[in-house]
Amino acid sequence: MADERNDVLLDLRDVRVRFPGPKAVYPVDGVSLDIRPGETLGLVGESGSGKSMTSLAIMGLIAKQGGAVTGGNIYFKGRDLLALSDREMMDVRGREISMIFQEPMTSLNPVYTIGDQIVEAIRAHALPEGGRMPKRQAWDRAVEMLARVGIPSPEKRASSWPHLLSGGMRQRAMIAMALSLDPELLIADEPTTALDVTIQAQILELIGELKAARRMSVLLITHNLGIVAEIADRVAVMYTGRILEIAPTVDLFRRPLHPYTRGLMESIPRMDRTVKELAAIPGMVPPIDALPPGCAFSPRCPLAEARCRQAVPPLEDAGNGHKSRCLRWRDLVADKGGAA
Amino acid sequence: MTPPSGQENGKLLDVRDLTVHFPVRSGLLQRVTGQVKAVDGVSFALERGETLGLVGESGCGKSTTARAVLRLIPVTAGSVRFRGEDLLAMEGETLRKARSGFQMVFQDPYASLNPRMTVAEIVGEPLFNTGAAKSRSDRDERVATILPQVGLDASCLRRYPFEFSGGQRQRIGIARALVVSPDLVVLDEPVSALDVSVQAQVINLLAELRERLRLTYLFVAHDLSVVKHISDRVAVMYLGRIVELASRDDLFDAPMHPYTVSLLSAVPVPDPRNKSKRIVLSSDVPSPLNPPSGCHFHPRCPKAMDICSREDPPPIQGSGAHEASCWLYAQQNRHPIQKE
Repeated sequence: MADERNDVLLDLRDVRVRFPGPKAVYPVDGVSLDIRPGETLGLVGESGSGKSMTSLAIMGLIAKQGGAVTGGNIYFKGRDLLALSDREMMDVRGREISMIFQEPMTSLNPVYTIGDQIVEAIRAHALPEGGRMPKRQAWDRAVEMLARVGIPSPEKRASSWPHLLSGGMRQRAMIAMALSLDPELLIADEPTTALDVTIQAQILELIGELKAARRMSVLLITHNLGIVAEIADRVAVMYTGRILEIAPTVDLFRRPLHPYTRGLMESIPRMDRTVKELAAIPGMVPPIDALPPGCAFSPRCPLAEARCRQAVPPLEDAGNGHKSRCLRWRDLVADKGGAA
Repeated sequence: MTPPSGQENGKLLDVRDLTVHFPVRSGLLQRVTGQVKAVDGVSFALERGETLGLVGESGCGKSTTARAVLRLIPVTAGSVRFRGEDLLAMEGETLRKARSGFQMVFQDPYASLNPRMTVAEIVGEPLFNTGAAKSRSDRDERVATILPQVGLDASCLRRYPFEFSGGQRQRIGIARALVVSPDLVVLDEPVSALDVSVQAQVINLLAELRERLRLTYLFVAHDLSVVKHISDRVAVMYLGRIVELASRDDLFDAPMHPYTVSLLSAVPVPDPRNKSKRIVLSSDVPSPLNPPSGCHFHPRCPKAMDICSREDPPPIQGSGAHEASCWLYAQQNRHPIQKE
């Protein structure tokens, strides 16, 4: 696919997030990525990789966590979100960019009915023609959204309190709320991690349908490579605040060009194959305040050499939109390894 | 398979018609107004040296089954025989001593270790409880022997849980279970709280310990890929009952019960060229407070017949053959209790 700059919805360039402390840390350290209209980008990583912090930076919610975006630009439809006032950013959130979280119970207010919360979300934003949507109309819209996400008897459910809904239904209600203002970008942070696998299948199906119906873009944050393989168009792999690899999904799984990505793929037990022993990655993710010099994955990497520890490797273009932050990615091209 | 140990033809654990009901209280006087049939007539057996995976979605009763088998919660009815002895008849001192034969590893390595106890105290606790150690020096010696077996340094003895990562904490939990040299280890979601790259390390450790110490595992998990990797046989639970029990390969290659079929199809496979055809089940799991009549799965079952809502399908016997508790198969083999 040709790289058309003007056909980009969201464009992160070298974004840096800093958290103060005895020693300042950078949970997001120079992240660049873009999402096109209608595209689903999977952002994969383990805990501490900075994948959730990246999404909070896009939403302008880093300050609430006690940190600050100290570098880079976040362009949304050509506008730099980092230059917007709090008021302007509030309007972007919800109407243009919406977010759903892992645990729907903690994101829903327990003392308001589902319908009231969706009405509030709708009425928090001015209509394009000015003014707020009347309450009655907003309520009807809330009921319509609940129906669209597959909640049975939506009129009744709109008057329910969150605790009366099952986990799957709550996540649907969250999605209904997130989509009530017809956003162009949906950020889904581990949207199915707290759900059972049959309910997960329902939610993934739902996100796919809604995406196709509205040409909505999705930034899907997850640790689950299976989910990414099923619904992402492209995938970015993060580790200690940096993107180590980014590629079209099929290419990433067919031929991962970073030893970490390859390690992740080989270490997970899979339904479609049986192995005697899992190829575990040795060691563990280093704490963000004690990163090793150079490539942060080098202490766990089977391919590491002396030069890997000297400087952080650049994210190199391997062609076809496939980029790797490994000095030895060419060796991985030659090696017919990886998953499947 | 390891040879049977002589006296009791290989069966280490034999569970028959296990039933666990919890009373539901309501109203001002907290009267008992109903029963949750968390485990509703479950039968299975474990041979020495084998691993039985117990899978199902939240609320299916898999963890309750595991806890009931170990006498951690009261059993309503049924029998549990361990090394041929009736576990449910044991009380007090006898039960405490018998506990050295069966131990448990819990899911959350953060919640299951007392933060104010040292590693020596945590891991050594079962030694005192079962009367296997008499003094602290005795205990420390045994703990120092077990730690290297789970990949921890014996110098950790005086350290506290907060000093360890999630993966290391789970190793401490495993050491605590193994310190009394049990025959049976019940593992309740032992890797689901761990990061992907650490998960593989712990799974490999569990497999290695099983070989080396000739352990028998009851492995409770919701992650089907993990269960497939580690188990010899697999039991699938749904709303308090086992619906299918078979060898690992039979269950994953040729599932019989419609619930198992849809459950397996819902697992996303990390291969974008091989997108699974999901069978998306409609609606949620019904409440165990008020389970559907007949086969509990019939309201969601794509193959439900008349009889399914009227009569319970024949239960799983735990015979060792590939069994499904489903009228689709029951009618071929035996006559339904009453044909109209």
